Amino acid sequence: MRDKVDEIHSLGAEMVIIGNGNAQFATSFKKKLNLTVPLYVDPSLASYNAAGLKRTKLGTLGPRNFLPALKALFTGNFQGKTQGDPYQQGGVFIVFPGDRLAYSYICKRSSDRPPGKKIVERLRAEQQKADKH
Amino acid sequence: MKSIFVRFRPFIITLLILCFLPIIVLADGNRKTDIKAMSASMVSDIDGKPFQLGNAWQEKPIVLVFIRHFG
Repeated sequence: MRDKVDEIHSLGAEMVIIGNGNAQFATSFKKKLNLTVPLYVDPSLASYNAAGLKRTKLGTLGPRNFLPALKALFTGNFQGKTQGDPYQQGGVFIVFPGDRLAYSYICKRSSDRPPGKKIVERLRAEQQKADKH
Repeated sequence: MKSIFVRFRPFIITLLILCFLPIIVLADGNRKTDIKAMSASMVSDIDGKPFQLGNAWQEKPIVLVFIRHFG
């Protein structure tokens, strides 16, 4: 999703990232990836639970992750030491003012990647809908 | 062939249960997204300051990305 930041900003929205490690991990993560968007942490996983995100050992260790993990290794994407809950899966939501949930993508497993292009298109469509009203 | 199956039926059934038991145990149930609870939940910024998540979308829409873990 990092490569979609400029598009999201051009649509008048912001990207906000939540991680499940502590603030120290987040600081080095932000520096490493040169993030310019707001980054928050929730080690208690309360926001993850509220979002309905999955926490599953099978989602992290299951056989459906083997090939994607190999592919990531071959493309030079190595995972370092796990900083946070390794079994907590992620997700993406589009939320408008007034607690209006316009889109949700809940990852089923660690190799599950949210469709960035589709999310931006959905944001654009929702913005146009909101502008009409 | 049939007699072999009948003879070893308890063993085969036990083996099948043991194979599927980890999947049943390790699988996660489905939870619903509760936007009100999300809005009320407290997170921290990288300086450790508390922040109510709902404030992130007060002024403008956001794309909220929950990542797996750092590292």
